Amino acid sequence: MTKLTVVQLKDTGHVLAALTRADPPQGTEPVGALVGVGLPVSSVDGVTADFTVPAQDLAPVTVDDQPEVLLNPQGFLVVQDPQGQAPQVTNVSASGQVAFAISASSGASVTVSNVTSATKLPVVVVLQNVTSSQAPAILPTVTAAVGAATAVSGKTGFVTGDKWKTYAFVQGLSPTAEEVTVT
Amino acid sequence: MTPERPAFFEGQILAAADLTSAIDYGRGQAARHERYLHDWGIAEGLELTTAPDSSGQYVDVTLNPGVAIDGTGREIIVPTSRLLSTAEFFIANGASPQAATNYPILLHGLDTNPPAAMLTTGACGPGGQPARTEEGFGLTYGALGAELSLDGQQVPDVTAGPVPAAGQLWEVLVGSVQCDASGQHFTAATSAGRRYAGVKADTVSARSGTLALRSQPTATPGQPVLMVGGDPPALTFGLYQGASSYLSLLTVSAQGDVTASGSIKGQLAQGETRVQSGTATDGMIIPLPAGITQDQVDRGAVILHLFLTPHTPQSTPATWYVPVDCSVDTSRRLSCQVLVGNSSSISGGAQKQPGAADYLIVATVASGASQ
Repeated sequence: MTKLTVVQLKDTGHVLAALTRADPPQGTEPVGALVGVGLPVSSVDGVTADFTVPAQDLAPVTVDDQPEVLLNPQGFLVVQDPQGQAPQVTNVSASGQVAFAISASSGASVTVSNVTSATKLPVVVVLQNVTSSQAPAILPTVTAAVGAATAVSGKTGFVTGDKWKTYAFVQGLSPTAEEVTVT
Repeated sequence: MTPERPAFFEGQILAAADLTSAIDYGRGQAARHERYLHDWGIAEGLELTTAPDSSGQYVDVTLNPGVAIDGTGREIIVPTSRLLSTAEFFIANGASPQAATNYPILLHGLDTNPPAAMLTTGACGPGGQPARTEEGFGLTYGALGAELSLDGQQVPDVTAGPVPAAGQLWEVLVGSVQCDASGQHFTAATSAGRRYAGVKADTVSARSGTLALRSQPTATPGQPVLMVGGDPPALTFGLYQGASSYLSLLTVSAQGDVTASGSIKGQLAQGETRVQSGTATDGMIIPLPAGITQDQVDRGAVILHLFLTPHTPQSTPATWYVPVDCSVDTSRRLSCQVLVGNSSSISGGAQKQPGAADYLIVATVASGASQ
């Protein structure tokens, strides 16, 4: 059976890119051979993006081929079988909501809601100041408590009225993109 | 000294030296055979095994029966199991014992003369002389690293019999032991690092028509075997499936045809091509064909030809797809964008999304390139 190699976000399992090969290599493969120093991301949740995820935040996984993954990689995530079986690729959950709030006085926070399968979830956040056209920044992974606001960044750099693009990769949920105005 | 073969004649009065020379001639001949047609080492058995000692905290280590050939050509026989002595080990290594470290156990041949029986009283000649030499063995509890110098032991003169050169005992490693911090108890033993007896031969021939070379003393399923000969003649590498059958994995026939059940890899020849194909999504680096390295590409030893075709789903009346970019940069990173729209977005509003591309990459070894 044809194998599919996916490149996943290590902390959340989101598939960011995928590849099939007629003659796949044997053994493990460094992620750098697939993405170089990093993987450019040009779209998240249908919203244009322009950031690069460093190779050290990514991991390759080989699974049985699923052609639909090649058409929309971000619609899938890697699930590690707790019983030690081979990892699988499955659809991200359509439920769950992610909302950002950015305040000049208290910084940025993310709230994950409508999730019943877990009380805490790892989140990878990317922020970009649209107003000043700054380069996007990938923030350190945070663990968000479901139903509560979780701080992802301090207040430094946020100016009231500025618009920021926020991209969130919450484990198990579809990646989201949202434009937020600093209050 | 040139070997002398004893000769006898009718009526000769035989002295002890005459009889001894007859034996020495045979011993010397056998030793030279072992020395020059074989590699020294363990021929059979001589494993070190462990069992819990009486305290249950440590182990007793036993040297099992077996045979070794030393570098002088001497046969060393251990006829029965021998319990290793912690006391002798302590004498040799107890000054500063290092726990959990392998101390070599070395075996050597040792001649001893058992007490002679008094056969007669008042007979001519000296009484009480030993009439037998026991070809026994001795053990050395070597210091750390003593086994490393065993290959440098001095080989006797070409005419010599099984006599150590310069009086040095020839040692054969049979295994190693580990001790506790006091050096007075064994904690483990291993047979790792042993040297086994071998063969020195420029020609090895079979009488059955097939010569087998295998990695185990017996045909063991799953272990490799190299066969030469057969009908029709061939060179075959395979794995044993049973005592007399094997699975052929690589065969060279008498006509020079090579048949392999696996893949054959090697240096690329000029003009040779390697191919890889598949589908990749936006942002990925198109992989090189198997056996091609980025270094070869960078040096110009390999020329790449890359063909891309946008990989889009079939458009439907409800949803349509239009590729707008499908290219790679110099690092073969794929940039693939597709416009996705629906019936209501024909006049605008179509969404640009990352897409995928089918790729075919051909690597050709450049003429005159060095690999």
